[in-house]
Amino acid sequence: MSTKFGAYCGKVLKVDLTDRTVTEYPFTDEERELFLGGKIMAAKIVYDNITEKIDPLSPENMLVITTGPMNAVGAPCSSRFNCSTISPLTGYYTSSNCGGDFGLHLKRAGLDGLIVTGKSEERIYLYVTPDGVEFKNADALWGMKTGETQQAIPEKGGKFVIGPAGENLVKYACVISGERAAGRGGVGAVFGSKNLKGIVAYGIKSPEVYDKAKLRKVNKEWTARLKMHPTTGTQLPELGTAGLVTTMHSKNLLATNNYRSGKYEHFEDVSGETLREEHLVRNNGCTTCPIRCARVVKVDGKEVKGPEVETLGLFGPNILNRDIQSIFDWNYEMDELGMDTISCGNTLSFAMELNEKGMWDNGLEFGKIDNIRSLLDDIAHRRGIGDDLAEGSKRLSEKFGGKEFAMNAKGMELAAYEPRGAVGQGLGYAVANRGGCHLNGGYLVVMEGLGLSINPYTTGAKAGLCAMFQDLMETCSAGGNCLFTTYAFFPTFLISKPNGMIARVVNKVATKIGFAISLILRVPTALALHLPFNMLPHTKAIAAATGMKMNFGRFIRIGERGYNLERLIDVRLGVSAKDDTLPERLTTELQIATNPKSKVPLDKLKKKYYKVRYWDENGIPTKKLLKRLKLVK
Amino acid sequence: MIVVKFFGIARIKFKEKELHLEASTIKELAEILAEHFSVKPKEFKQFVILVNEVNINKLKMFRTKLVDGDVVMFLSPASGG
Repeated sequence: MSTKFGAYCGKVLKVDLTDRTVTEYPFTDEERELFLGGKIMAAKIVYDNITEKIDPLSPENMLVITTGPMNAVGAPCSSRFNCSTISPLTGYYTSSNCGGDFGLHLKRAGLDGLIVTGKSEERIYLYVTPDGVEFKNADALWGMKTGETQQAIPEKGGKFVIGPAGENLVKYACVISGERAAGRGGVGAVFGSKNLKGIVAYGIKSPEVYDKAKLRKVNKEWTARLKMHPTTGTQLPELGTAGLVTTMHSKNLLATNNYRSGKYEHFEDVSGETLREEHLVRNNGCTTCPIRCARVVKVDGKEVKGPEVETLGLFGPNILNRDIQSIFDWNYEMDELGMDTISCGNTLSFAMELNEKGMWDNGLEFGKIDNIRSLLDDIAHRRGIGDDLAEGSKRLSEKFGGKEFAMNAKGMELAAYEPRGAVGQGLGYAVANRGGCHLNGGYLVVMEGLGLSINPYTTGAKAGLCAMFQDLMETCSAGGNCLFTTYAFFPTFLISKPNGMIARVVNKVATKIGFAISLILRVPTALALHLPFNMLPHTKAIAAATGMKMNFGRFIRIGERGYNLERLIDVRLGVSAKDDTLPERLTTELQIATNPKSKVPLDKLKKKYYKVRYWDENGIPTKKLLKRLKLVK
Repeated sequence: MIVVKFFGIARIKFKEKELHLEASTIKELAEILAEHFSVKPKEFKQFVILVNEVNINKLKMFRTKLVDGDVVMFLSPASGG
């Protein structure tokens, strides 16, 4: 199969590990226009193939690794690729995004996507080139950590591998490419369940694009814009995501003591400032990225990837740990073992509170850190209490109690943002398709305190803003770009002049524009919005690369289609309104005793959200909506 | 004395973590800091300014009064992660 569009390879392969067959999977140009690529393309494939509830660790589950049209065509921040599956952590659909160079190689190997089904009898890894797929024995690699595995695989190319956590089916095991992780949802355990240690892709030929000269111009302007923007040009390069710790503390957003507070008195010790001044070796970044937000620090004298803000938060304030070096050590160790730092940290804080309350005698205590490093190894190898911790906070709460303070949504642990300091983020955690994910939840905390300062406690317009940003990020991700490129949505003057008149007006009115947002979300595709200024560079770049018609309206509509398609998969697997929920601590206990608004008014927010989304009161997308989105005929 | 703390880009730009100064309003503080760092007072408008962890946009902006012992924080305006 080929394609009339530029920037695509026009080929998706399906590998069945059980009988070792490789076939071409049909994906049409009509589908490319509707689903673009990446996580939305993967959702379409999963929706068409998994039609009933399955055991995520059974051969029936599938891994769908996809690229987008922006990969390998010179766009900035465009090494992001996607791996979707049914999550062993939640039982629902998950899509995990990664910035390693595997995706670029997969595309240069001539593939838009690779589907892996079945289960191999022997331990293997796959080697993908333009000539096809080879099955390679992985007995010698089994048991190795992720760094060692990537070094030991003799073939050159982009590598995507699991560590011991994936092999031992830790429910939140991740997959690593270079130093970057497809972190969330336990994708690594699905690899392990299939006896698949990893995949190597190698290719050198990028796909042709529709308008080379125009794309080069757009990419150049886009890169310049990223370098000029205060977030992507200054804040992230200078301080990384770790630079958020201070802001989070000051705005009651820093999850502390298993989400019993939004502030940590020793926040400076684990801040981006401390990391920069006392530990930073140099900046780093994904291939193709001009932002370079990654940090390089030292662990045991070796230069390694530093922690992101979520890891600093969950292994710092949330377990009352002020030793930043210990977080560097554990962050590196978790990457090497191949497990998600967010779910792991959050599960640990839950276990500490269980112990504190006398509900599980496990020896874990807030502020006690000497036993953590060995515990991480125990989790990855399922030894002792590590076997329970490897199951995640939801299953732990089913075994030991404490559901009201097990900080997960749909079984996926929340990130480090305490949602009682940003109730729109709380809504996002609750309704997100993959569970308690800050990004899939719409990341409204950026407007509620991190970037802008709209009222974090009001429900006004939050439902519409949540849906809109979910949809925007959905398409950005499907295209193959890093979500940080969506910061361009916020004009420079709004960010760089937080005390200026315009920013103050925007902060005031943003919570009162629900009707306007609803209009944006309801504009028919035929009348898709042509805005007088370019809010997102993505639209121009996608149009130049592919030859598709693209504007803001079409862009957001693709995201809406993707989000609803993922919801449909979840609904098929059992999700309804009852699952769009948060732990009781966040909805019933005040974060600040003197502030009666400092809890998440979830029922009110959910009701509005379903209405904005055109979902019925049980959280199911309506037929009218599905027809409008061309998801049914 | 007012405790003035610098974070994020403010700390990088002024190469200072903390100062102790006398000032009766944020406006006056900005003027004193401008002289101290040899920059214009408007330089400080690009930062989020908190007085005892409350954003001045919830107080009286640059007319916000300061009293002995207040902690003023200058933060980077924005980010996400």
